[in-house]
Amino acid sequence: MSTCPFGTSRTRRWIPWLSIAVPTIGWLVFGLYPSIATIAYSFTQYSGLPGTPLNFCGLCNYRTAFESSYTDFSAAIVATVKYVLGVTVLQIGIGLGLALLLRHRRRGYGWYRALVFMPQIFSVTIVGVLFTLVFDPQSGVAEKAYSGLFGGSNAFLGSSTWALPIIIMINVWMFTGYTMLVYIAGLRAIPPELYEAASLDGAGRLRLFRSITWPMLAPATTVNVFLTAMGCVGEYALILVLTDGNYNTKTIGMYMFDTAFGLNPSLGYGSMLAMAQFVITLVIGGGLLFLLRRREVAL
Amino acid sequence: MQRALRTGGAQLICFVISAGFFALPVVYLGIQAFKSYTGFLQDPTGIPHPWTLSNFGQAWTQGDFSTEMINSLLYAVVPDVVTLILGVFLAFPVSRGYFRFSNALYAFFVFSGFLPAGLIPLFIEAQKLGLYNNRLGFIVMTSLTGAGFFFFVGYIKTIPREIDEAAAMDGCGYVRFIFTMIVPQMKPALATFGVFGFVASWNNLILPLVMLSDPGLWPVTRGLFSFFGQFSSQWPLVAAGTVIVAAPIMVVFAILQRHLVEGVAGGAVAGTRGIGQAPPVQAVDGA
Amino acid sequence: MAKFPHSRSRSRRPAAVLTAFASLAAAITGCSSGGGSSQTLVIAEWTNPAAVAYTKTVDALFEKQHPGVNIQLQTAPTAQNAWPTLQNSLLAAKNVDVLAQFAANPSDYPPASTGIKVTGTASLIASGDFVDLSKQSFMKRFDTTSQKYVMGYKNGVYGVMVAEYVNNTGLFYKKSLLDKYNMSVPTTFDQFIDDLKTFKSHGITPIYVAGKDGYQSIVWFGIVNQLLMQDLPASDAASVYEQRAQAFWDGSQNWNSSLYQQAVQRYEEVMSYIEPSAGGVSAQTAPGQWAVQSDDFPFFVDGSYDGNTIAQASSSLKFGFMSLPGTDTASWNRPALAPDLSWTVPTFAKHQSLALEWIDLFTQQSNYAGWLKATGSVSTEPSVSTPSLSWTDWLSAHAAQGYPNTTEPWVPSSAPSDAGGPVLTSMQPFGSQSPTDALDKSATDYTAATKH
Repeated sequence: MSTCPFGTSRTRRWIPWLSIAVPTIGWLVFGLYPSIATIAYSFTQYSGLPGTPLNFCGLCNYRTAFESSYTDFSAAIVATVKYVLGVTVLQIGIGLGLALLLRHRRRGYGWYRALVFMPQIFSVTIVGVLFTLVFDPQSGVAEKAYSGLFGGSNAFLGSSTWALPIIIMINVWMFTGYTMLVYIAGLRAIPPELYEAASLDGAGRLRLFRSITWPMLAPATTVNVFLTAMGCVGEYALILVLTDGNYNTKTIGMYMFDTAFGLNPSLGYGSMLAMAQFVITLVIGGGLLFLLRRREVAL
Repeated sequence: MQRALRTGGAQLICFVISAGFFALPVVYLGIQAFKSYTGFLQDPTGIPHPWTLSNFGQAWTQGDFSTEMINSLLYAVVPDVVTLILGVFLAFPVSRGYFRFSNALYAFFVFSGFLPAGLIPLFIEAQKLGLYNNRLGFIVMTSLTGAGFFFFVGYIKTIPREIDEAAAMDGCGYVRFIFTMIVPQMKPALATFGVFGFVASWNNLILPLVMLSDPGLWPVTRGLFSFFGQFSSQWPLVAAGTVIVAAPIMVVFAILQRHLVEGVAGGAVAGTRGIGQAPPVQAVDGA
Repeated sequence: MAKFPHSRSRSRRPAAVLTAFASLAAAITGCSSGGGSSQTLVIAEWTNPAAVAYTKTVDALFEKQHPGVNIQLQTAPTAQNAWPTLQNSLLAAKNVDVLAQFAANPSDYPPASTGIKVTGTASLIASGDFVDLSKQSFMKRFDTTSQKYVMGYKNGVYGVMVAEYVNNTGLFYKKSLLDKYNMSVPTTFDQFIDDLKTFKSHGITPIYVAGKDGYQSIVWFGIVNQLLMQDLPASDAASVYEQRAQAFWDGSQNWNSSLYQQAVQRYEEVMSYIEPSAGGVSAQTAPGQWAVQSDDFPFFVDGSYDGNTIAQASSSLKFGFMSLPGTDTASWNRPALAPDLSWTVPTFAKHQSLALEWIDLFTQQSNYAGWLKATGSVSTEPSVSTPSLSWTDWLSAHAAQGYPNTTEPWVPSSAPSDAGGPVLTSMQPFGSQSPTDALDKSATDYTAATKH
């Protein structure tokens, strides 16, 4: 801890506390408290409908989830892992590719970057409308392209094989612009002298990328992998509007939303799923941070 | 000559990728808004013939977007500005370590960011505090959540701490220092989170749905949603409503986009030490 | 190092900012409190364009009859859980006088011995959140048995069901295409399959279904309904379904019993005639697409609530609505009725008597007839006939033979989804699971979820 230099000797102890007071209280009241109350619901069979009994039941929801016969839970975890893995790998790859392509400070490039970034300003509802229209196998434009290229037809969002990959791609479409921007910042921070020295040694482009660019981008990769993976662990909104969790797309977030809300909700069980999601997030997030940091240090 | 060709080629590739993959789907949706309903049904994928503007007029009146636009602006701008200011006031002493347990507090914020969000307890609480169905209450609730804080911590670390001491020696007060020295240096970060915050509030659907029952208080997304339900099969009308609602965000985005690179870059890369909060990426999930 | 301007006026700018906020805040609060003296009756229903428009008509009439009363209509679409969210916030805020509910049914109250908790509308009724309407005079306009079936609990009736559609067993057909191949409306399963074969041999895709949103369930549940109810009178439905739930619970019946084997076989046969890639077709685009493609897809799997949508998409299309003939006996192939919107009055309602008066006005013959015409619903008032629209000829003639939909066996809410029957999107032709595997899996999961 270092001392705050501002204010008189009497006020300087209090100034930092005053500075953080309002947002911290706001966070406690509107962020933390509702979260903790939700955890409490996971020990009940509460429906979530106001005016109905809580039905406290201890660990019943947790027990149900771990009974091996209950397959939805494990299927949701498998789908979540596929989703997180797919989105992270693709978004890092595509984001890096776009960053290498669009990093230059040339005329027009600002607009190209803006276009790539643009999809994430739209709400999920709008993105859902858009891609439902595009991927309709009878009247959508994707069908025309598909039958032109490969012949035959594809159910797209109604195909057990393709629905999840398509949602992964839509997720990447929406958020890869952010990954790209972080990488561009990373690229710009690499001292050009490094490349000059290596070029003199006669290194080719691929060598340059492997021995300079990629290692120097390690911090940016850490941020990107972490943010991307954490951002999509609990995803449900996009899945909700595109497939409603059908066709092998029910991730843990979607399963939670499906159970906790709706016309016949069981908020108790849903809250348990939310807790499960929290644990998965911590495990994946902690694991990633550990691995990525170790890699950064090793480099 | 060869060089000109190569830059031309690079420009072409960049244009095709950014416009073709990222902008085209949005344009495709926009085009649907200019079709008549029967025109759409007969040729769902083609160019409108004839072009019509009637969907926009119908969407505007049916969706009752005019009053809702004003509400939306209010709900997006006020919390956005307040949140940014509070975020800076929170991030500054944390990143400087100006108080005891600042690291612990930081870790605690990071950790709790992953807890499940509790809509129902939040609602009950809002009601007890008298914030339900109340314009000011809604703004208070959405203004106090300090988004962007994690990135600001990283960003402020890139501002040399020596200027704090120099300013204090000159007799500059704390509040004044933050507004005149820290805030101007954070422009890119603030612009970035200004965009994220604006977009997130503008697109937010669930919170207005839960907290605002009086139609006079609704933001435009709430109207759009009822509108979707009502005209779900009339794609051109839905597309027109979507365009109307998305237009203001696109304007804000077009104005602020040039700051985005530095903003994201500075905050994200510098903030990597101890980063944690689910990214702004998630905050955009309005629905 | 930057030079700091003189620091005398150190707090002027923040102060100015604060003042600006204060005045803005004043402006905001100033306009948030509106309407206080007059009475505001709050009515809430989910978005169904025709229903909302007609409710507004009744509201206007009510406001005219009750000067000083101001009606506020709250709506949200059922998609993406917007409606449940709105409903919950209105209930929690105790800020609604007339609340629409999806009709409940007796199977929503499993015997206490099962240990299953009541959810949804039924849990609100069981918790005493709604006013008992059985003594209200407007209840006399309705058929007591069917009202009791859906909104009854113990000795009361806690809502009035004013809309009912044919969902399961629902099938639209194009009259011109049937005429072209000299077909009449098929009445038995074999006839239906013969027609489908004929169409297929002429290069026509016989059936259109919105598989992305699971509308194939209309066929599955339709067949199950018809096999279960056979030609029993509608009044037996409750006991038939209760016996079935009991048999499942006892373990004497399960999803792989012969009735379901037979149903799944018929379902698969029908599904072999659907359009390619049906799994990706969304319910949002389907009615319009089916309507404009007048030379293809003679049949369309959908509930009667979409009749007006189809008519709107293509004014020239001649089409009809029928019940899917899922069995070999014509008299079994009746429409299953899906009870839908029911008005309730919460016990906490601030304007209870006004709320009751509003329901009274709504259910008056002439108003109710208008409602039926607007929504295409089947009438639940014996004295008001189901309206005849261009596509309802079959429905008007046969709706009276209908009976309420089968209810589900008792399943705890935390059970896996296939404990409630095969998941059609995972089963062929939409998924990869074979029908027998799907039934066996459902049976195993049902047993596991209910082991006691």
